[in-house]
Amino acid sequence: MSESFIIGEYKLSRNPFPPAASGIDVERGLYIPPKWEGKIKEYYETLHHGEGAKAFPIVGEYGSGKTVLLKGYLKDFFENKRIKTIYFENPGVKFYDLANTLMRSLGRYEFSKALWERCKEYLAERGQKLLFPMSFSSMLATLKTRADRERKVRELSDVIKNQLNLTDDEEVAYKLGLMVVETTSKPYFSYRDFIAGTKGALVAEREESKYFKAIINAIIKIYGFEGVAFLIDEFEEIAFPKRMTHKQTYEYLATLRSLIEISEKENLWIVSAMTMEAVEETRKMNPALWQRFTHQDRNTVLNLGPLTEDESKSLIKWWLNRARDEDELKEYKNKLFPFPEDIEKVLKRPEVRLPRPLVRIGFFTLAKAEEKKIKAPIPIDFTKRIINELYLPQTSRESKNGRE
Amino acid sequence: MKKRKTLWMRYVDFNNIKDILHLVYENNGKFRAGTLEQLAIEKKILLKKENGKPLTHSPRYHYRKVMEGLGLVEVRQKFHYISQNERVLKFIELTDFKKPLPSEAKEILGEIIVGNNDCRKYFFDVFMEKDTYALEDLRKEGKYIIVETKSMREPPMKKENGAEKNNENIRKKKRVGAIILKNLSGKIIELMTQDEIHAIYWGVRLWALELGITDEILLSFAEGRIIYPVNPYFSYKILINHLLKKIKADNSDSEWVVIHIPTFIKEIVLSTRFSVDIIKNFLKDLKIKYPLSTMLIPSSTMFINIKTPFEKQDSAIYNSYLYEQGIGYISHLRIEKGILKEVKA
Repeated sequence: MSESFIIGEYKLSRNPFPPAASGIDVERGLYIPPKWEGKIKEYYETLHHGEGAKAFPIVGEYGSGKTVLLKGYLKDFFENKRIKTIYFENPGVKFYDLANTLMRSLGRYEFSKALWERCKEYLAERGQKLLFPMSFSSMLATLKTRADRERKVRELSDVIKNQLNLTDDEEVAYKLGLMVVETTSKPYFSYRDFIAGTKGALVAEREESKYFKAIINAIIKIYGFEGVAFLIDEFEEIAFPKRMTHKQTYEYLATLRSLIEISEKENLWIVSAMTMEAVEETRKMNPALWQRFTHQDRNTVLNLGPLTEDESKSLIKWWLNRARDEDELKEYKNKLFPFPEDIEKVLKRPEVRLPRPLVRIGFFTLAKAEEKKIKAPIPIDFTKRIINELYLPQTSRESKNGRE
Repeated sequence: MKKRKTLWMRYVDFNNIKDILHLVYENNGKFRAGTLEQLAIEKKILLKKENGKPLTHSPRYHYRKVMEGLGLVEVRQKFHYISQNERVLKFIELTDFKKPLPSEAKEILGEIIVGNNDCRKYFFDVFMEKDTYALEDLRKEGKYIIVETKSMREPPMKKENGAEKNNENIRKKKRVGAIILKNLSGKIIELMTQDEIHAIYWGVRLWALELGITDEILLSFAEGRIIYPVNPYFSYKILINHLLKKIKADNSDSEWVVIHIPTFIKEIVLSTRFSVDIIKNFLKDLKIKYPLSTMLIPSSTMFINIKTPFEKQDSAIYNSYLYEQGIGYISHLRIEKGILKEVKA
């Protein structure tokens, strides 16, 4: 009964807005305001040819669309340019937290196999030609003794360093070789693998940055990409504990610095979504590093402010379209209906013109209008009432002093 | 008064001081210490706020000593007499037993405290260039100071370095105060002992703060607490000019300018010495006055808490943020550049 009302009256197969409007299961092709797209293209073009860090922050408050932009737009943006994207959600502050997330997303078996495949052609040149090409698992099966494994690690590390040129560091090359060979006993990564200095660690001690660089090069070479892009969602959010010690501050900055340094030399892109307060903190902790991150005078900071009234309407239309795929509803595509065409009258306050509030307003207005069987177009006053319930306008001062 | 080896200033509730003073006034010269304390307990003055039980001996003693130290009462032959000082008599006239302190009475109390030699020597002098001054001068000419604590000066020493140090080096190291109050012109007050810290840092400093003589900001542990005499001559024009200057200085192509509220407050404080609350109210009024051109941006308290390793400093850091019921702490204000057309300085 209810469903027929929403179809009959609102020309929607369902309420298309997600109720929570946070942690939206982001799909590709989401509505992105043209000005954001323009900025991203501009930064890409500028940094792509430049010699500085290929990095920029996306800054915005909660609900401003940072995650959506990373997952729903930048992923495709980079992949269309043959740049592999890796999305990090709240990674830890330490370098090995990033390495752990990265390598787990690739998978040990798959990564080792791909690396071995790439090394194989050079290994074959050394008199190891076989009648039938050896598969990765067959190769692993031949490594029965410790001496076999050690020999293979050395062969691989030699190729990694001298043929593939993934790194110029002996230890880093050896660790990568070790990663391939030891897949036989451990086909998965564990967190401790990336803590330099621990027993069996796959990361070269005090050379985490070089190791990371080698991994980036390996991803580019073995998967045939032109670059790698790290899409980092609020890593300071988890990184900053309740009381940040000097060590933790150092680790956060050291990780950021290492990433920036790698991105200066390799085709690694770093896009980090941050809240404004995180920006303030990072800038205060290390102004020089922040300048490198944002390219000083070029000021490559994508600030996600409130949408314009037209952009807000476009976003609402995009969501409404999701419930208009059926033939009989198609003529209503790209229409604001059942919202009134002059909905901008109630979207004057900037705080409601952020993506998350707009989606919440869409959901609750439709849900309540459907419940009360409100005729379409839904009156503007009805929507206004919902907005004011969800986002109380400031009409008086309330103060609270935080005194000791 | 007998010469004391320790300082008499301690944190006290001035409403209680006022009520005890009224008891002395009504029973002038009749009470010795014990009787006065007993009556103050019976009249529900010297009770613990949390459970209503009588205060223990030490705080009761400090209440009496603060009254003596500030010259509100005189003790002759162990009996308590009301001071005949004009300010004290005016204070009694302006106040009522068990009623909140009116602002005029707070002002008198402020004058008494600023005029007190011990309070000047250990606290107020550091704000002033000259030696002779009254409350009014402090407000007009006082300079801000920075509080430097021992933990700010001495980061935890690494073990390997510690092992290299020999005893001789440690002995040679200059002993500096646990808390240093620093005027930028070079004047300093060092609080060396626990007694001085209790009396000044947790005593006179908080009196001055509560009576609105001084105000404080703390943006981060590393920067230290800034204390300043409050300039009561508030000017809306100065604040709005500062804001407009910030908007004009933004050369980004965005229609919006984002302002970090604690930084804005600090800039205003250092140049004008207006109270933090006045500046915060100015920002809140902006949101009410220009709802379509301003946005308050909340911050996670996590970002506020990381600014200091000491939990006790959190509330001082929170004070530089706006607070909105139902929203939480606000760290930034976003202003549309178009506001320049609407707002006149």
